Amino acid sequence: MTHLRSVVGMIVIAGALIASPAFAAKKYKGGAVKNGGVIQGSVIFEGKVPTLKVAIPAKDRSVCGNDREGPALMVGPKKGVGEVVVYIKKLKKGKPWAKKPATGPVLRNVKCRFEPHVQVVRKGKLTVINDDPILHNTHGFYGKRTAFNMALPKQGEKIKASLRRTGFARMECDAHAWMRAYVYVAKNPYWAITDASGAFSLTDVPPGKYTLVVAQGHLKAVEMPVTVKANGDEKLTIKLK
Amino acid sequence: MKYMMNATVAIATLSVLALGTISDASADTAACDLKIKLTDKAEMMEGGAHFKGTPGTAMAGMKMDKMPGMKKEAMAGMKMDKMPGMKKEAMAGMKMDKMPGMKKEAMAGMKGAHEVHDGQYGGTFFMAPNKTHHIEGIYSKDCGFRLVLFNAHTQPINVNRFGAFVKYIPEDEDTPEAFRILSPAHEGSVLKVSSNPKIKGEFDVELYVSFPGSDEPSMFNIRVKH
Repeated sequence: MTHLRSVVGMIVIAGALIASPAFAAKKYKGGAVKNGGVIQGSVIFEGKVPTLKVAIPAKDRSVCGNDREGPALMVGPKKGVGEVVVYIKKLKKGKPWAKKPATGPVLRNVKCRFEPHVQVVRKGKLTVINDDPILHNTHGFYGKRTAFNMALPKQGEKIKASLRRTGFARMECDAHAWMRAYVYVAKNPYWAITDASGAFSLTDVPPGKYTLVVAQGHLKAVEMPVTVKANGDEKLTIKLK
Repeated sequence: MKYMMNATVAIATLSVLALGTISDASADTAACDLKIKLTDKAEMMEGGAHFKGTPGTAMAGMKMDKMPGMKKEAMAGMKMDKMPGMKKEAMAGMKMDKMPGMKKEAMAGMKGAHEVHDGQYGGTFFMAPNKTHHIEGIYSKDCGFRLVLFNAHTQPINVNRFGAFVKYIPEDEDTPEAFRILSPAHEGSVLKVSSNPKIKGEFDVELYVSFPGSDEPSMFNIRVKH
């Protein structure tokens, strides 16, 4: 009876997943931009930088290292925050996408950490690699929903995961709860990852009014309006708390 | 319009699933029996049906100052080579599964939780997102898809509390995807369903497992090469 209830419940959820309206979204159109402007600036952190405690199980210490505690954010001496994704929301037409690199995006499991910690990709395949001699169970989420869940039991194992939707995807390892990485699946080519000083720049932005999103995995994303004038140069300082 | 089409496909799929016409446990032959031995002991441990402890306490993250059946005072400052009321000689050769003053049942569940993260039956092994259970998905053309559930100690447990279905996704986009509901087989040691004879070569399996205490099934991706 319990088994039957579980199956019925899952059928309903399967139907809901299939009926998702995700395909209805319009595609981005790339082309020449006239009188494009620039949005640039820096992301800074205000307040006490949160820390993360990592307790490593004894059996994994030879690979993962010992227990540690460190800052949850990459904050520089002048309070600039690195590895923050900055992008323009709902921009349907603008500059063309950059040429796709010869090799696709990669996420590595190295000494029980994800590398890179933050990256921006286009919709499609993400190669997940296990560089460690232990099981990693890379589990990607869009919010609470699973994007993919792959087992990589062997060192050197390589699996292609699908990121079928745009948006911010969080990577976890079900075997090592502290592991986190963030992959932003871009909807348009107007995105940047802040450098170590917190600086970013978006170029060739068509004149208009937009919403700029600033997202960092450990903090709530910040949205702010921004107006780009013809050949303008918008300079912003964005504060994260 | 596309949304309408998706909804129609979903309703059609649900109807087929609800009728159970493609649910199949026909691969329940002796040759496909993994000969898994289910034990009461495994059901008593974390992840088992009769586990009575606090979930998440078995070994993973376990501290020497929190051991079931022992008073906090007795644990204070305790080391494996220094135990109150025990002579050094008595400690020699002592194992974690033989500790004075502790009942055998209390020790069960402490031995090696999440120590074994390897497949036991040649399939693809995962740790469940609930951080308690483990699963192993095994596919073969003759036996179809079989799913083994394990407790926190990677010991097989009865599958009757779990539900699962798979989506077979062929590489060739002209071959339709197929949904299959898994049924308990071989005295509750596996959840099982037939293979899809229409799929040739490599393909992907999306496995959805419903774990006890969770409202939503968890999804697992498995690449099948045969």
